[in-house]
Amino acid sequence: MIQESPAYFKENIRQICKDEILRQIVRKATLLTLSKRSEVVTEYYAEGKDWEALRNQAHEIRKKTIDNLDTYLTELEGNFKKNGIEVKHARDPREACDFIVRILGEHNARLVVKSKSMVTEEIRLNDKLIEAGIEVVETDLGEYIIQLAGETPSHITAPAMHKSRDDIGRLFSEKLGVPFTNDPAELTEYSRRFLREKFLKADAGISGANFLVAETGTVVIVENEGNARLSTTLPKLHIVITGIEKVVPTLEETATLLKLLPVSATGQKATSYVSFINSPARGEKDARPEKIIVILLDNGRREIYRKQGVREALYCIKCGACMNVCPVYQTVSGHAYGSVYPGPIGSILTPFFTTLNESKDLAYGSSLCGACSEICPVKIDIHHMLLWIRSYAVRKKYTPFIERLIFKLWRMSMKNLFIFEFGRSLLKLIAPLLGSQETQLKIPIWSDNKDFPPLAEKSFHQLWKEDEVWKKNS
Amino acid sequence: MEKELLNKFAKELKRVGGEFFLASSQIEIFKIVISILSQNRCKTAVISSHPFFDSFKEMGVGVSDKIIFTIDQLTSNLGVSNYTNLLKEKLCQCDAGISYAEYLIAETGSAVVVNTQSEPSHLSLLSEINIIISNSIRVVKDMFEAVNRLQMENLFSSSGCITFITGPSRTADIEKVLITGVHGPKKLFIIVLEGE
Repeated sequence: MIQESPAYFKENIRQICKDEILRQIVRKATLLTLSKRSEVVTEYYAEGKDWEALRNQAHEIRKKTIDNLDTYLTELEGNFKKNGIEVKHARDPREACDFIVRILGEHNARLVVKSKSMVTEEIRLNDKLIEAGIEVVETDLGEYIIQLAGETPSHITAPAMHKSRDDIGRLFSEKLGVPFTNDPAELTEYSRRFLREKFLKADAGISGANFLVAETGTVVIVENEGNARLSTTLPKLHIVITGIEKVVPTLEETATLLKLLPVSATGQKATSYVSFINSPARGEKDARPEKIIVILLDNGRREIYRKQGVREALYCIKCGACMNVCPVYQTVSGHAYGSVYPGPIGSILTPFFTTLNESKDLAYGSSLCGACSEICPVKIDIHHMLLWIRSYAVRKKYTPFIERLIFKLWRMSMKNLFIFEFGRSLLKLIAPLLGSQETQLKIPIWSDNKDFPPLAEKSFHQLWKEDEVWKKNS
Repeated sequence: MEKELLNKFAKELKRVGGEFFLASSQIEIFKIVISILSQNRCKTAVISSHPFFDSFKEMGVGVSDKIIFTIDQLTSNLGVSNYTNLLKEKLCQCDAGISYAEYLIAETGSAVVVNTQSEPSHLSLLSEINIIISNSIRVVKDMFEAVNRLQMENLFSSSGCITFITGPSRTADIEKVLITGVHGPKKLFIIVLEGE
């Protein structure tokens, strides 16, 4: 059983590594997405355009925005209000959920359709809605599959990446009572028919947002299936919930980010739909929602903002490319992380969205190869931030005492030759007691997964002193 | 230059699974629309009330046509109460929606639809077939140009919702297999009126 908590990262990995089929599915899916992405980037260069320049530009846009977050948030809020869109701030998941439940209650909403939103996963909104007796239906095909299975997304842009077509066929026939098929086209058609009815009956639609444009007060939603458009235009009430970092100063800057996002996420030059929502319905004959409410969630984001070492993590536009390219993610897949946001960027965000103590292990789930930083469309220095999180955990004394002691002794000995030599001789003396005849040390936990190299006969220092050639030459 | 952009647009549209048509007159557009509708066995279609389609009246649309209806026709007997709900249901029953695109983006093969009361977003969303019509002078190079032009024309403040449409609705959520036609249209046809 995979645990839904980052505190179980190591246990989860051990379990998942034995699941050959899962690993195969996830590896194939991530590699396929990566190859589609490179095709588009290659074409981009072939047309004489500079992908790197675009990334640099996006980085500067995100840096400017996050550094002046409050200025742009104030501008955004003013323009939302001008457009007739209500704005609400929520400090934490509880505040956000309570507010949504209250609003839905005021509008007598019994059925809610949701388009894909990671922030609603972050605040565990569905559980709270069900508790309040409100029926909530996920409408993105991947999310719908996950909801039927009673699971959580394993990837931020491809939530059902870990499921095979057979898994989904069995799930649909069991939960929807349709004849078994593993044909993706037929399964998709079933979801269209089942969900269309829900769309038309729904009292409210809940969505996230990809960008919030400050200068015009616009909510931008990027999607492929049409479910976000249906969720945000059919019901009378539309609730947007998203993080405060999603603000972008201007439309032109949004266009830059819109160029990078689909290529990085799915290898598409543009997704099927990008909706720019400017206002609720104008007049009785406008069939769009009568009311739009935007909830801006903090939940640890301001804490990230205050920490210079990781502030860049707020630049993230949630494309999921760092997950696809990460050798660790490719092997262990999203659920192993036990966090809402998995993979490299998730390992930086999660300690702030939950607690550092329960999620500190995530940052160690990286070979620090830097592939994540290389692929990131907004050039977040992800792998260095993973190191920062590790050192933050050490500084907060969340690592085991014995580990901290070992490193303290190691540091002392590296600074002082006498202690170093003493330690070395001591180690050589006790080595046979700890290990086999080959003087292989067996250090608890550490040695479970790797061998301690046998100790050399002579230290480098001794060899250096004895080296005749060196003496002759000098 | 315009020709170049149009060719690029057609190429990109085909790549995302849309079909491209070029027409030299309003009458030709009408003929293409009729042939698309009959080929896809559409019994009913609903068309936007954008001024671009005014000349369609002469061809019977909104008057004697029994296939293509205007929104006004569709809603003529709906009362004010529950108007929007009934409209959505009616639109759902139509086999095709015909919309007007304010701009076409060459770089990505996208159509920019500015949704208003006479051009509800549902036209390009609820039916299985979506036909989008525009003018060749409305083709722009890339998203930057589209956004700038929309802003210059003040369309962000005058429209409640603007949609960039690139191909039919699609998903790859099951083992990354690409399927077109999920919750939105299964087929997208774009007809461009040349040289006006």
